[in-house]
Amino acid sequence: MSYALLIDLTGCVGCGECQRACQRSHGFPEVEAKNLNDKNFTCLDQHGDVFVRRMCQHCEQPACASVCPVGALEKTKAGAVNYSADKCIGCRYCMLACPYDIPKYEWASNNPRVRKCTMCYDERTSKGQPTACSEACPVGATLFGKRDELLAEAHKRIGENPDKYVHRIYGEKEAGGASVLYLTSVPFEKLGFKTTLGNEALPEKTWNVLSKLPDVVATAGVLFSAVYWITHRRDEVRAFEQKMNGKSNVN
Amino acid sequence: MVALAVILFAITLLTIDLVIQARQKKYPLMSPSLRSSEKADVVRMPKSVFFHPAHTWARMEGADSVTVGLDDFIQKAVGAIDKVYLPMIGQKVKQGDPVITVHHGDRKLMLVAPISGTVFALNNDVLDNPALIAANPYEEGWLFRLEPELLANSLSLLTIAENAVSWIRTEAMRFREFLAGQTLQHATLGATMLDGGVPVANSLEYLDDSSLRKFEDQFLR
Amino acid sequence: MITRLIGKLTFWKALGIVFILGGLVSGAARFIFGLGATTHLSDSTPWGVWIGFDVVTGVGLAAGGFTLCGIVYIFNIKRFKPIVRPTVLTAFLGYLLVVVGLMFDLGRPWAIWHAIVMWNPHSVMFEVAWCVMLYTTVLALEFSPVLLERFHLTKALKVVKAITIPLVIAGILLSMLHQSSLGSLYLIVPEKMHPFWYSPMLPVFFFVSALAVGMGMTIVESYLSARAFNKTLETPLLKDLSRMMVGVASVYVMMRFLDMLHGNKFALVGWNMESGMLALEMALFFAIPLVVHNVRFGQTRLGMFLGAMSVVLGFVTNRLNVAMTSLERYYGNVYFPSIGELFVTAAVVSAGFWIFSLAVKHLPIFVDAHEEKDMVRLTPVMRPVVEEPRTAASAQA
Ligand code: SF4
Ligand code: SF4
Repeated sequence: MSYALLIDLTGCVGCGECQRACQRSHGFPEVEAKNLNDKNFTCLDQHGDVFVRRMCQHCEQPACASVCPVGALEKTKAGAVNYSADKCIGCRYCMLACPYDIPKYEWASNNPRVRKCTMCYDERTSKGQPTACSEACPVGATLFGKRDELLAEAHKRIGENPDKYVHRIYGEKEAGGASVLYLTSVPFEKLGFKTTLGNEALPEKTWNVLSKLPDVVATAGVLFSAVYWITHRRDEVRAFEQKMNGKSNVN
Repeated sequence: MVALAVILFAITLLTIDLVIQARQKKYPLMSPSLRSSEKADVVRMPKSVFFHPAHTWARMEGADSVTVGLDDFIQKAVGAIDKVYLPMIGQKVKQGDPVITVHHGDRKLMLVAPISGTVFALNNDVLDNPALIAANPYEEGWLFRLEPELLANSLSLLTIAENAVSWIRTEAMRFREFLAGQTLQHATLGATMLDGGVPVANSLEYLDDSSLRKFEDQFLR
Repeated sequence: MITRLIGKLTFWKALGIVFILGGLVSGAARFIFGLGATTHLSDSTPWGVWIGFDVVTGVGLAAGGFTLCGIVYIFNIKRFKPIVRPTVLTAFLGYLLVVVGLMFDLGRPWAIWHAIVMWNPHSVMFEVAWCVMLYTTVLALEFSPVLLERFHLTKALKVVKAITIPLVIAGILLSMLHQSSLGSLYLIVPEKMHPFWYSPMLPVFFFVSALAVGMGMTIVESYLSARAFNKTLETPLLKDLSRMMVGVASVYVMMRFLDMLHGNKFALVGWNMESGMLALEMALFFAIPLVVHNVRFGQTRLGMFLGAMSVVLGFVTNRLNVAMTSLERYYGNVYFPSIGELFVTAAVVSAGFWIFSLAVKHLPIFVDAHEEKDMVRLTPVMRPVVEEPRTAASAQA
């Protein structure tokens, strides 16, 4: 039962209601921010007459969660990638690892937290309620629902209007897929979307190496013990021979 | 950017260091010569080598091979040795012949062969880099090998192990008295002696030339 | 009094004091005013010089410990034994200082113990944290005989000596793991990093270059301590070590070359910052040491020192390139550390030098046991504590 958001960029009018609703629900000052920061988790980038809503993609296999040494970030069953400040040690690896540069830091604080959209996990989505932004959207450009249903809806829209839409749902497969899906009529490359990521989930790249380590350790361990045995055996043999020679000389 | 800055900073520090080092070399007296003063009266006396009273040593390597070098005491007293001259391969040397010359700056000392024999190998590493003597005069700092002649005869003059240790102790006291009799050019040396210790490290540096010749006569022959 | 103190002050001591004081002040400021106010870290530079230098580079520079232990204990090349102790000491100090540096960088350093109880085996950082923790313990044990000898704790000494080999093997394995994993840290950002430095082979590159720099650092340390503490220098040993170092560096450069070739990365070479930094890295890590090693000058102490120093600097360039240069184009902002960040880093390095020199003064670091036996004190009597008439003392002698 994994929830997701479907953002149809052809419908978005750039009113900013989602941003304000988000700020309100977190108790942040309601300002029109052009960038994500520790007090703003979503923003609207204007490319020509298209508005692109930028926010955490709630990746299916999130890079941020895979790198976190203490598991402060985790992909929940509800689809949200949630953050527990009481686990976080503040290494900021998640900020480096996120391919969309989403996590932001409370640089001014002395007990700083990583801040990003949590898909209203605690207050809403964990209970199956829609996010604040999707509720606020006056034109229904941000839809909340189950991921498979939204994917089906997106495919249906492309099928019904093949000339209008680009035949690709951003977030279906990119970097292993995400819980935020985009539809557009303007090619994604032109809207500042990353199209170089490929479909392999980023954590795979690390796991490929990490999963081999036990084998490497075992092999190397045996190897070094063997080398140790051989090199020291030589010494023993030499010592023994010398002793024998010494004896035969005496005789 | 950061990488570049860090590297440039490191290279600057390195250059400053090289400059400081180069300047210190020009004024040797400004560098504290007796830095490791608490170690100044400690010398290495391995139990496996024979010592000649004139501060050279010999070690049997096999039936026909004896390694020769100079001992830790003299090595420390001279200070950094920057040139060594050895007898030639094939040369016959006699016990007590001054055949080794060591240089420290413009001063030189001649040392004798500890036993008689025919030289068959030189330590080329030491000739290239006399600092090896300071590293360890009994191992990588050996000087030459010879094929001994009348070995038993030669050995009767040498001491080994406990005898060598008590010999070097008396030798040290003699050295102390010798120094006390000379006009010294360095106050630290006198201070060490008042402590009751034997100043060894670099102490020859503070003798004038005539005292140095006297030292050679009394200790190295 | 003051003039006497100043008279004793060498340039390096003065510099060290300035750095350490500056570091203390900046470090305090960081904890009072927070990261944002005292550093140039930002959302587009989450990792600055504290991670790039203090951690990623620092751990590499401490690689001498496992390299040399492997050479001596596993490959049984006993010649190198005299320099094992100083090298293990530096490695130990190095790791401790890495942890200290990390404490400044972490947003919530007091929560660092979370890494012990909250596991995420998919995280490279988690693996590095564990390896560093365990390896620091191993290093402490490897170094403990020095302390135990100093305080004559024979029983404990026996126990530690008995487990030396398993310790050494564990140490090598742990080092292999985390040295390479520091490279794996960056595997997750394939399209953020400049292709010169991103490669699926990063872990291997990190490991091999750590081997080379481990030898380089050993040479540099031996030279510096020989000079500073009036210890003898094991010249022939260092000559061999320097040869191995150049050998490993050559293997490393060959691997980098193949990586560039197969990734068609040579097409990106041109008049840009990345190419320049890559060239600098290669020159320092490989070309200069190779030339120095093969000319006469390279066989002198100073030559060996400078050759090894070049490898070390090349290594530092490489790590900083991976951690910073390669990301500059992506983030589009050029990060330069704040004065505070620089002071803390400099202070950490100075503290390392300082503690090392203290240890050398007070612990048997440079003497190996067998040589100690050959030592003879020329003044056989201990000086009496109470001043006795001098004649009595000499009569005793
Ligand atoms: S977009 Fe970034 S922060 Fe959000 S889940 Fe994916 S990796 Fe994590
Ligand atoms: S900063 Fe916090 S949430 Fe991010 S990776 Fe580090 S510990 Fe995890």
